[in-house]
Amino acid sequence: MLPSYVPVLILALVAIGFSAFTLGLSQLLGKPRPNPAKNSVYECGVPPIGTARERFPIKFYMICMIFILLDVDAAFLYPWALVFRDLGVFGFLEMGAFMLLLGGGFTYAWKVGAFDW
Amino acid sequence: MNAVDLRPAYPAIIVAVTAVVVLLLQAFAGKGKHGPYVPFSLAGLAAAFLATVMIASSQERGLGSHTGGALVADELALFLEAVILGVALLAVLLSSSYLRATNSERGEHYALLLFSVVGMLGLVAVTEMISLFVALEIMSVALYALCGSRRDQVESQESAVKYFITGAFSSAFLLFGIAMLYGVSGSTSLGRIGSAVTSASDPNHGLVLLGVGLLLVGFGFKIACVPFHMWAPDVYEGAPTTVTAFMAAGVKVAAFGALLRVFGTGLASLADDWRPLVAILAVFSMVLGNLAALAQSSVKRMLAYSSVSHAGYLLAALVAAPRVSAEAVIFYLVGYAAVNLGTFGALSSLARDGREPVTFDHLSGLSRRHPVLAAAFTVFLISLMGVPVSAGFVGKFYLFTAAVGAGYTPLAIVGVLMSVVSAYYYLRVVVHMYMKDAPVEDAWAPVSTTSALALAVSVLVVLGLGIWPAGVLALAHAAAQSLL
Repeated sequence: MLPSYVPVLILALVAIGFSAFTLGLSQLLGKPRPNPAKNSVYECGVPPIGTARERFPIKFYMICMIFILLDVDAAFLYPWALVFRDLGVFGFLEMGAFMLLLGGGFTYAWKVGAFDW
Repeated sequence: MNAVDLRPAYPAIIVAVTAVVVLLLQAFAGKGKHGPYVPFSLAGLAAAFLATVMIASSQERGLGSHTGGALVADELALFLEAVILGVALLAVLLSSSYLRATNSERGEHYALLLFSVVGMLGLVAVTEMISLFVALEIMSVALYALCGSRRDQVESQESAVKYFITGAFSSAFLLFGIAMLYGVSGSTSLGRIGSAVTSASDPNHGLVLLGVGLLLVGFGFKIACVPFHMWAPDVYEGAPTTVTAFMAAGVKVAAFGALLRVFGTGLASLADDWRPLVAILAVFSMVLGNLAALAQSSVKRMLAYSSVSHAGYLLAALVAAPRVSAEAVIFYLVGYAAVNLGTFGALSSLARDGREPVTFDHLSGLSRRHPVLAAAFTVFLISLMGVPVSAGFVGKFYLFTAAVGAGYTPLAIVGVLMSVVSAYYYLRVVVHMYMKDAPVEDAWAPVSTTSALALAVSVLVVLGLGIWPAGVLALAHAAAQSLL
């Protein structure tokens, strides 16, 4: 079992060696000439505004949680749709139970006002 | 792809549906109003209890049935499920007045408690590692939220964060251990793992040991044995007291149930490898748990350290797994669950206006204001000490007998000596209740009917198991047999 992982080990060594080599070479040959543009945070060419550690409303957290609820839902619906015919009534009922549970959570979130901005 | 036998999952399904109903009751109750959470929760739990009894009563109803190789309804699972449902029933009864006294009555509290029960029910019935992990997480995630449910208290928040971080950390260990065993055996089923790792001359033996060690670390966190106990005092102290009661009783039962099954069946062939490890954990838990409990000034912290030491006593019996010890562990768990519900429940039932007894001094003179409660509290403490006529005595007797039977006599000696040490801090509570002067004004609330009912049941269980242990012992014996 273990010998089959030897190529992975070699690849890891090559990757580490390559980055160490190039970084070391630029350290040796290059001369550091810093300027404000070089030292700024790289943001796809757009000059960055302010710090990243800003406060933002906790409501985003609620949105995140509900997004996960629906996201997981969708993630399970896709593979189920693929094998829908093979699973038949049993699969349909299973999925129904799953959707009902999620629906319960969704209704709860709605009623307690998680969507009120 | 035809019908899966869902019978072993019936109790958990009933509880899960109840939890969703209670959650929706809260959602539709409107702001500042309360729905009938307690009756619904009690009805759901009672129905699940009934389902468990019915499954256990005969072959056709599903005793011995499997759900797709993931869950099993054998004697061990059904017995511990009944115990967990009993714990949950009493915890709901205790919660109802405590939540009112602390102004935190919400449907979510009961819903989370029920979700946690779903995880526990799964945990004692799993025969497969992925289901084990899922059940453990269902139980734990609900408990993290429950610990932090008193949002006006910083201690409650602290306990939730600490429990969450150490809990998530321990889950990672457990998962890594499962991955190791899967890597060796190519299966997550306990039976297949068991047959794949039998021979010690196996070239993968090192990998197996690594997996077993990681599993033990993961379980160690959940049952709070030394050196994985650091979270326990803070979490037990900070969590709302009824949550602590539920956690101390329910999690111990569920986690030890899973531990018995995993180490008693799947990894039984490796017993020679893990036995010394378990013995070391047991000694450290017994000694450090008891010594640390001596120095506490908060009753809840003292009880938390005492729970660490009791994890040690239980582990001391586990070295003899699976033959004699399973029985002793199962019996001990029943009495211990009742005692934990009783001690923490007694503290919680005194809560008034958001305050509750915390230090030993708060309990001074309790026997004059609340004579019946003080007497009940004394019964629980006596059982924790292991004095005859209580469940603790019979339980400890079987635990230490199991350890001696497995050739680990020193473990039993440490256990008995440490039980003597523990008498000091348990009796300290009794001294405060009976021999110290009461404060002029009674700070504590009269015990409500529901709490009184829960405490009375706990007292009856503790004394009943101490005086007539035969009935439950027979059930525990049958449960232990199903492991073989």
